[in-house]
Amino acid sequence: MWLHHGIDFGRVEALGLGEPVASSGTPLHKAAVRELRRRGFDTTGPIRVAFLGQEIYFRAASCEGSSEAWDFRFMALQPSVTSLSDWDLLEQLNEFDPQVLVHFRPERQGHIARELGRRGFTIGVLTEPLAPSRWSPNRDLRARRQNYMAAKTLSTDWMVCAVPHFTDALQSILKVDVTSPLPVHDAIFRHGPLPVPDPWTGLFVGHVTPRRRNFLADLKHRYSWTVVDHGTQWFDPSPFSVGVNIHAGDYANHEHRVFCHMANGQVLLDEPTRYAFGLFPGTHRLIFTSPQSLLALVQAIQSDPSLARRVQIRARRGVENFRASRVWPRIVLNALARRGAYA
Amino acid sequence: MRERIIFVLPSNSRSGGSDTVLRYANDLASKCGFETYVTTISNHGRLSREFGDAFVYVPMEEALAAEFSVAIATHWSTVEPTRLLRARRWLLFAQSMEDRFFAAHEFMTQQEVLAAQSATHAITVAPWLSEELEALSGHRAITVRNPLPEEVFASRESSEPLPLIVVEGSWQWFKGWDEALQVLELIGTPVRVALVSSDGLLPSSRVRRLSSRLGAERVSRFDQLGHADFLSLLREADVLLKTSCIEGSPLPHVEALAAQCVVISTLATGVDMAVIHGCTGLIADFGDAQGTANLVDLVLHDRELWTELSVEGLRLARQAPKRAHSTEQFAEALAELTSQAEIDPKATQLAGDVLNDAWVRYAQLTFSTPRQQRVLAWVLRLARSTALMPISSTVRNTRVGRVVQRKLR
Repeated sequence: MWLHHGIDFGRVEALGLGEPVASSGTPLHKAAVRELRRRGFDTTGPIRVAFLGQEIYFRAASCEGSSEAWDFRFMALQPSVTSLSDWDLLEQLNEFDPQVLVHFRPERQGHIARELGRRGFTIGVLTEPLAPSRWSPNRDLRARRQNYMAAKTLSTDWMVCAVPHFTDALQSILKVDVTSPLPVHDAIFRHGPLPVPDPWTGLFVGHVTPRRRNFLADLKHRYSWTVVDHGTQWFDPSPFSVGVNIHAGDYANHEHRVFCHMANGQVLLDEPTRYAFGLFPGTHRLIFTSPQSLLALVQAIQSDPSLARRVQIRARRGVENFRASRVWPRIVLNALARRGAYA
Repeated sequence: MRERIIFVLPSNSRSGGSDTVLRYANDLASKCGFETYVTTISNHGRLSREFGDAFVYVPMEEALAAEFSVAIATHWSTVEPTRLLRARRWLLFAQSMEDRFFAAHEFMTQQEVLAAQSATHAITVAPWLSEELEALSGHRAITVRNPLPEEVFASRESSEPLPLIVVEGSWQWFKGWDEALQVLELIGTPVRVALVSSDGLLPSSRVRRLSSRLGAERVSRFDQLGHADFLSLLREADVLLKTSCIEGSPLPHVEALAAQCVVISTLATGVDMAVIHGCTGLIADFGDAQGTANLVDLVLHDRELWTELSVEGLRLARQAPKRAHSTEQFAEALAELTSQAEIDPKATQLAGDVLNDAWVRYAQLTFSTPRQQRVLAWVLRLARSTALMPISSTVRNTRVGRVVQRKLR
């Protein structure tokens, strides 16, 4: 069992892989298997899917576990890796022999993407925001746009954009086949009673930019919030009842932590968002628009947690749509069947 | 002596939700021996008798003077009026979580709606709705699934060479019309399109734009189509496309399955009762026009897949209850809920008495419109400036000017 600061990613018993969407024998599954067979893969046994990406960010978005129809495995792929043979990754890939490889942030490692493409059906997952044009005032977004431009020749069998705000900008550089937010690893979902919302058990996880520091300053002083800088590092999450999402910069985005907080049973405090994915402000998340508004919200929760409690309950139910063991089989089957239909 | 039940509708406007209520009102009277009444809060007048005329319409003034065994609110706005009626028990018939219909800036209204829907025991149309209401309110909620009429299962009929895609819904923000129209423009396969606008409010400009992209002869528009005609359209269609982000019970989805039409839908609440991805239909991501178009192209291109999905969908649809069975279940639910302990009115918060000062302060701070406030403050300074009086007199008769004058008084 591998433990990552409280989340036991090795615990796989509650994956829901037995659900009809993931079962073998469904019409779409049969179409997907036909495509794998056409590509020369042995299709006896489950479909083997390997997730490759920087562990600190992407293991929490992957799926792990096995069933009659599926075998999912995560393999850490650091950005510094220049070839599959540089790491014990090659040994893992040879041993697992996946038919499908899900590669997070392929634009950073085009050469790795090409190597993976020779091994199986590749699904690239694009997660980084970018500027809509090279004239954008935001330097970070311009830099990311440059990264994507440098990866224009990147070819994967299927490309997923995880942030709908940037699909149009990406479509002008790389062909995006589907836009789907990153799901949440099954191990992060809290089972059993949810903690009562209490502003004294608040949590922020992520890189503390100047903008975020501005929002968190008062909270940290008045309520001693826990701030975990950099990466999806989960400390033992059970004591935390409130989570906050703050955009890194002055641009709209969809951050993975939004779903992670909901799945882990925290009340999510969030900035206004254009894409709700069926999880609406006031219903599944509580909205703030300024540091003062955030503080007022936390004070309101302290004065009467019942409204926050309702939001917390509904969010935990609603985020089930983004359980990794529900989402990844769907993405993989769609990709294979679509490619097969036009082969 | 027969039990007297009254359903309280918000108005006599026609909708899928009100049709469901009227059907139960009729069937409980004609098949289960109840004496059923229907009243409306506004727009009094004729109600649809499409499902039968065994119920009695009474104006609200008369209803307030009468006595009933059970009074049933059918919408959050009818909860308080229903509690004014003289009834031994009152219940809620819930077809959706209605607070979701309101946008983020309508925060206070959202909480009022939720308080209203959480105020008592309920009969709902979907398991997810019962579970959610029970989890939120602590009261009992019983699911009675909507029935499927037998005529839905009639044979398919299509002689046109091009596949037909049907898009259906009212013109409300959560019904996903913008997304659906975008998907239709991205589909690569030549198709015919039927746009079924259940309230007739679909803007003609959007239809014209789609027609110019696909060809006018390939785009048909139907406003306020009758139910029988809608079912007939489904029997001709290859795909029902649903891109809504809020649903209650997926009746159009199930009707499409019964008509052996493949459903491609977002995973709004309740949709998974009908659409099991890859088995009885296909699930699309919210706001993913290209991905959804890919799914449409997939089923239109791979006819073997289309056939298998439609066969499995039909099998699922046959499991839906029949009309008589739903009515019996509704009557049983009434009996069970009226035997539950009464709800203490003081223990439940009614709409309008929901949030304490801290929450109100938060709502005012977060959902005011600072930009509008800044613009108005600037205009006020302009209007007060004596040097600019001639300009302000010009402004006076405009909409902004009238707002300014109210503020200056």
